[in-house]
Amino acid sequence: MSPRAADLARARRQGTGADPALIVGGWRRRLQLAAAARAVLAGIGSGSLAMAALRLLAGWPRGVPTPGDAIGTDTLGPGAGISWSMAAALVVGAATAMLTWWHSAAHALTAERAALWIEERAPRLRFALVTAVGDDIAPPVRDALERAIRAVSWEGPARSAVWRSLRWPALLALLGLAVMWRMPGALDRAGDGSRAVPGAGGARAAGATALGAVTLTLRPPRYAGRAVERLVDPALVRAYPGSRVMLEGAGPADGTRARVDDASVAVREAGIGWRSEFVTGAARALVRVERDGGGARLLALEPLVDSAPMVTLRSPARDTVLRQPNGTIALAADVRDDLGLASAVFEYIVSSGAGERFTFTSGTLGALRPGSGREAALRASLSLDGLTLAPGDVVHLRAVARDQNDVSGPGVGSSESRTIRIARADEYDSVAVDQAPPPEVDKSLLSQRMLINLTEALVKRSRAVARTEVTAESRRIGRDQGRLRKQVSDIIFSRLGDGGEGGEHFHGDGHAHAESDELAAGPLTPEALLRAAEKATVISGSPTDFEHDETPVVAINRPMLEAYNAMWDAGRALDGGEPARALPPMYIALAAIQRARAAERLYLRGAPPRVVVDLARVRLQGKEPGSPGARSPRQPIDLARAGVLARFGAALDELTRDPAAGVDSLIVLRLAVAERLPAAAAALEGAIAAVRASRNATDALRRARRALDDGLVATDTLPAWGGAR
Amino acid sequence: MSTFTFATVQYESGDWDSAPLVPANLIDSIARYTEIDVAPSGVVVPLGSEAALRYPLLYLTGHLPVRFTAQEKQVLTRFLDRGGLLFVDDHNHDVDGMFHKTVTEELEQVAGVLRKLPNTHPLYSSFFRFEDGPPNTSHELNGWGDNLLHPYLMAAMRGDRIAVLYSNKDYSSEWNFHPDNKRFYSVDNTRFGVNLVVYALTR
Repeated sequence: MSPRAADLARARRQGTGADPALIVGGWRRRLQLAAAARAVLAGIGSGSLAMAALRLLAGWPRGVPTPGDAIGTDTLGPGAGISWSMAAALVVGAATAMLTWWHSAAHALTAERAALWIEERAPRLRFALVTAVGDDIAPPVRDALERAIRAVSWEGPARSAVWRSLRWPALLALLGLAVMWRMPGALDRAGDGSRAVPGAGGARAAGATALGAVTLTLRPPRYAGRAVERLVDPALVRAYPGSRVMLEGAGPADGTRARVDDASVAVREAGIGWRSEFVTGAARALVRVERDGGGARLLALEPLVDSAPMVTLRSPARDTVLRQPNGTIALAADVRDDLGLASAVFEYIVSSGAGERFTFTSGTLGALRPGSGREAALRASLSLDGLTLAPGDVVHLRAVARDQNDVSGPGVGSSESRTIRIARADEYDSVAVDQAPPPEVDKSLLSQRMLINLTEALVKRSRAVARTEVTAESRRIGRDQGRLRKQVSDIIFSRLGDGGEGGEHFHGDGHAHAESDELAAGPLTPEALLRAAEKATVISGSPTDFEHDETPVVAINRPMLEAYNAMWDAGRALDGGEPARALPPMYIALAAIQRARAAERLYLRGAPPRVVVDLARVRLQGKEPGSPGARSPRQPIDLARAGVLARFGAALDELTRDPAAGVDSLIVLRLAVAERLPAAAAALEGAIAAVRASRNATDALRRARRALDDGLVATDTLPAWGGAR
Repeated sequence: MSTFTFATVQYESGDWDSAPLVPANLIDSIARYTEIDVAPSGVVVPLGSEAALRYPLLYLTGHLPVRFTAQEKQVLTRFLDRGGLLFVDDHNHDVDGMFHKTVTEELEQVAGVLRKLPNTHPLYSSFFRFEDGPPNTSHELNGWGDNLLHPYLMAAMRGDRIAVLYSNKDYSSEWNFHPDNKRFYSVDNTRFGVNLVVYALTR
C-alpha cells in the first residue's frame, strides 16, 4: 500500500473511531485527570485532618492571654485574613496533592505507557494495543492488530480500574471533611480554636482546655418561616420567641456549663466537642458559656417582635343609624401580617336594653382561607333580618385577625369598630314625626312679633285716622301686650320653682305672693333682675348647677326678665295711646325673647350635667391649712441614668485592664439598656463589634457614652399637676 | 403646684357618661378628707385628644362594648407611658357582660396583661387603710350583675406602679349620687376613691 493509500485507510479508521492511537490518546488524558483528582482529594483529606489536629491541639495553654484573644481575633494580629492554622492546613494539603501527583507520574505519561496500563488491566490484548500504537506497522499487520483489539472487551476493566484508583483518596477527603464538620467552627473560622479566651476576667488554670470558639445554630420557629442561621462567636443574636438555639464548641462537655440568665442549660458530648440546646423566650436574656479554667463567653439574646396583624375595616365605612332592622350590609376588611396570617373573621355584638339592663349577643362572620399568606381581603355580608333587632339595639362590628405565632401568640389584631343603631320610635331623626306645638317661649316670641306688626301698622295709619280710633286700637294692643307679659311671667315663675299656681298677679286680685310682688309692682332695675335670677339659681346659699360662667337658669331667665320689663314699658305706652313710643321697648322685648330661646340648652349625651362641689363648704371654710402633705418629691430620673453611666465607665476601665471582661460588661450593659435607651443599645452594639474586630472603637464608645449621657428622650412632659400641699 | 382636676374619659364607643355624679362625689371626698388642691368640678376629656395627657388620673366607665379607635389607643399608650393612671370600672358589674369582655381586651392590647392586684398593695393604704383590699359595693352584696363578690381589682403595671386599674365592683353605681347625700351614710363609701386619687398623685 502506498503512503497515500495508508493515509486514506487511517482517515477511514479515524472516521469510525477505530484508530488505536487515538483511543489510547483519549485514555491517556483520562488517566492524567484521574491522577489529578487523586491528588486533589488526597490534599483535601490530609489538609482537613491536619486542621482538625490543630484544633485539638488548640486547648494547650499558651501563657498570658492577649487582647486579641479576648475579643475574638486571630493571634497573628489584628486584621489577619487567614488564620495560621488554615495556612498550615493548606500547606499540608498542597504538599500531599503534589506528592500524590508526582507519585502517579502522570506528568510523564506517554501513549505507550497508557497502552501498557490498559494492557495490564486487560491481559487478553496480548500487547496488541501497545504494538498498534506504533507508527511503523505494515497495513496488514495493523489490520490484524485492530481485529485483535476489537475482539477483546478491555474498556470496562480499564474504566473500573480508574474508579478504583480514586476510592482511597476520596475516602480520605470524606474523612477529613467529616472530622471538620463535627468540629464546630472549624469550617467557618479555622484556627479560632487556637484562641485562649479567658472570659470575664477569668484566669485559665494550668492544663485546662480553653473554651474556644462557640458556634451558634439558630433554628427559627415554624411560624417565622425563616431559614436556619449559623453564627460563630456572636455577641448578639436576634431571634423570634420559640427559636431553638444550639451552641457547640470544641473540647470536653464535662466542666462546660451554659446558663440562660439564671437558668442552667444542659451541656452534653457531641462528637469530639460539646453541645447545648435551649429555646428562646419572649424576653431579653444573657447566655453565659463557661468552662472550668477555660474562660467564658457571653451572648445577648434579643427577641424579635412578631407584630400583631393589622386590620382595616373598609365597609361599613362609618357608623350608621337605620330606621328599619332589615336588609343586608356588606362587610369588607383588609388584613396584613408581617409573617403570616392564620385566621380572620368579622365579629359582631348586638347590645339591647337601656339604663342598667343590657343584654348582649355576639357572633362571627366570614373566615379567611387557610394559607392566605401575609395579606388578604376579608369579605362577608351581615343580614340584619337574621339578628331580630329591635328599636334601640346597637350592632357593633369589627374585623379580627390572628397570626400563625403558636409560641408566644397568636398575635391578634382588630379593626376599629363600627356601630349600626336601630332608631327608636321616639327619636327625632325621622321625618314622620307628629307636629308638636311650639314651646312656651316660642309662643311668646310669635305673639310679640304679631303685636309689633300690629303696632307698626297702627303707627302708619295714625295720621290718617282719628285720634280716638288710634287710642282705642292702641289700648287693645296694650291689653294683648299685658296678656303676653303675664305668659312670660308664668314662664319665669314656673322656672323659679313657684309652681303652676304662681305667676303674675294683678294688683287687687287678693293673691299674696311674695316673689311676684316685686315683678308685679312694675319694671325691675338690673340689680333687681339679678337678685331675682339669683333666687332662682341658689339653693341654701350655694350654686348647684353652672354652665360656663352663669347658670342655665340665669341664662334663660335674664332675657325673659328683660323682656318682661320691656313689655311693661310697651304696655304703658300703648295704654296711653302712643304706639310709636311703644315700639322701641317692644323691639327690646322681642330681642330678649330671642336670646332666651338661644339660651335653651339641650343636654344630650355629649354634655352631662356638671355638678360643682362647694369646696369651701365641704372643707368647713375658715379652716387653717394643716402641715405639708405626705407627698414627697419624686426622685430625679437622672439618678437611674447616672447608674448606667457609672456602669459604662466601669466597663471602660475593665476594657483597658481585661479586654474580655470589658466586652462582657458592655454586652451586659447593652442588654440592660436595650428597652429604655434603644439608641444607647445600638451604640453599644457598634462598640462591642468594633472592639471584637480589633478596630478603633473610640468613636463607637464615644457615641455610646453620648447616647447614655443624653437627657431623657421625651417630646413633651406632663404639666406640673399638683398633689397634696 | 397646679390644681388636681378629676377627668372622665369620653371614648367614641359605648356610654362613657353613665355615671355623671361620680366625679363630683370623689371631688367632695378629696376636699373633705385631704388638703389636695382640687378643682371644684370635673372635666370630660376625649380619650382621642391630647388634652387627656394633662391629667394624672383618668376615669373610664360604661355599660356598652368598648372599642378604642387607633387615635384613642395612641393617646392612651402615651398617657400610660408618661406616668398616668387609668381607672376603669365596669358599670355592668358583670364579668360576662360586653363591657368587661371588650374593655379588658382593648386595655390588654394597650397596657399589657391585667393581673390580680394583691390586697396588700400600697393602693389600699395610700390614705385610708383597707385591710381586706377593695371595699365591696352594695351592688355586689345585693347579687346584681354577675352575682359575684370580686375580692380583687385587676391592674396592668408599669414597673412597680399601677398604670391601669380595673374594677368589676361597680364603683360607678356605688358612687353615683349627689355628694350632698353623703350625710345619710354612716360610713362614706367613696373613701376608696380618695386612696385612688392620692395614689395617682404620689406614685
